Amino acid sequence: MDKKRFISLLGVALMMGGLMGCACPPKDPVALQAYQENNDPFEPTNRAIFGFNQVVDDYVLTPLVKGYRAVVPEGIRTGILNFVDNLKAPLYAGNSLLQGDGHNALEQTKKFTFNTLFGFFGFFRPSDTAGIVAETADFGQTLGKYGVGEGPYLVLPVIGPSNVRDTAGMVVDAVAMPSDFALKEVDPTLPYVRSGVDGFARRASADALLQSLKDSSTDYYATLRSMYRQNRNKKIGKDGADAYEYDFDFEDED
Amino acid sequence: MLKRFIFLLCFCVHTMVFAGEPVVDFVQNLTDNIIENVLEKKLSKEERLKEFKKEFTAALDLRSIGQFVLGRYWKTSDKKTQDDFLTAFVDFAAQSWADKFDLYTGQDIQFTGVRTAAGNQYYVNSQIMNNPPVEVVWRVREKSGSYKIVDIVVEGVSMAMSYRSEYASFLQQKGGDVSALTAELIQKTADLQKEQGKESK
Repeated sequence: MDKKRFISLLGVALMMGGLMGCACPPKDPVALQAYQENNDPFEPTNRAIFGFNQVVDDYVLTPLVKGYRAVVPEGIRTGILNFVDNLKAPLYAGNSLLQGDGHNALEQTKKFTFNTLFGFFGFFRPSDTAGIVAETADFGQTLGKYGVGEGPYLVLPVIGPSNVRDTAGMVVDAVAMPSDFALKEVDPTLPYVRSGVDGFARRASADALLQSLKDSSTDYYATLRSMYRQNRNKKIGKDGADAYEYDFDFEDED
Repeated sequence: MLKRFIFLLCFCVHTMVFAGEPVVDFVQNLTDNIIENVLEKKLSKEERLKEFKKEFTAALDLRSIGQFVLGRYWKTSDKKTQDDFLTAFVDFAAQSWADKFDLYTGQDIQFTGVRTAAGNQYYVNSQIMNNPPVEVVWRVREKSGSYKIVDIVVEGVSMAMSYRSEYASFLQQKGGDVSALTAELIQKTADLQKEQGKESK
């Protein structure tokens, strides 16, 4: 996935350089508030990349996912997803430590050890039956917990919704992924295979949900933007922990 | 860390503390009803949707939700436009949730706490027991002695906020024409219905 990473970095660089269009803040105060809520000054560029991603999704990913789901039985698909997911446990453990969450670091370590040893290298998840509950933890989240602001919303080519902070986090995670160091020892191309399989397996498992979200959106771009931001805020649990506790005086008219 | 500890603590004592908390009972009744009468009952697709809509319209404060979801466009619309929007929105929301019924595979829902907020409001916390668990918060408002749900928040994603943000974006592109949104929702509902009909064949 070297290319994927390169393209995404290029995309960010282009936007940072202001080479592409940016939506100017509106003057009307109500519209301005909506503009600030969206946190999307690069909207025209983001929408263009989003459009490109949709084309890739419609013509490349969706047919591949359909074929994969038709040919590979569910049990095996879950196994593959478990396997690549398990390889990320050490990274999550590391990030949990950086976030001062020793409990989750321990749970991730337990999960990794357990599933690798007793789950056929992570293909199965005996940790579930053992009652081990671990949350994911990435570096974008770590940065957020240290108080780094999200920066403007970004849509990355192929990868999708992100923001400046999470993009930086993603690059750090990609470079620091502990499992990749081990895989590299076996074969230098394996980390790319891992990241490709990981992306694909996750896309395939979310297929039905994504399709239904898309079918039920009047503006799919805006839906994903809003959901991405809310969910990330919750994961960071700082300024946005209870962002859903918006103020709203439900005026009774009747 | 502390949050987890508190969660564990709440979890351990939840039966003691929350049993009898009327607002929690209200939400729990609703989820029990939906699981029992909609998700786990042997019904045809149409019957399932009908049952769900019944539960859902009774428990949700749809007018308040509609008002919030339309935001500034609510106030600038006349009563008829508002009502038409509400009807279309409810049909559409029920239909799009029906799309996700198959995702339910018997998970348990645990109620983990309740907080009060200004304006007779409550946040009822619950978890769908997946691994890791999915956190669901029910925002409930008390109005003349009865409870109504005004928002449902799944893993930090508020249903009302998401619709609001999406529709604001749609309406901005349509020059604030709410009837265009209503028409779009009616169209979407019909499309979803067709799509679901296809799948059930």
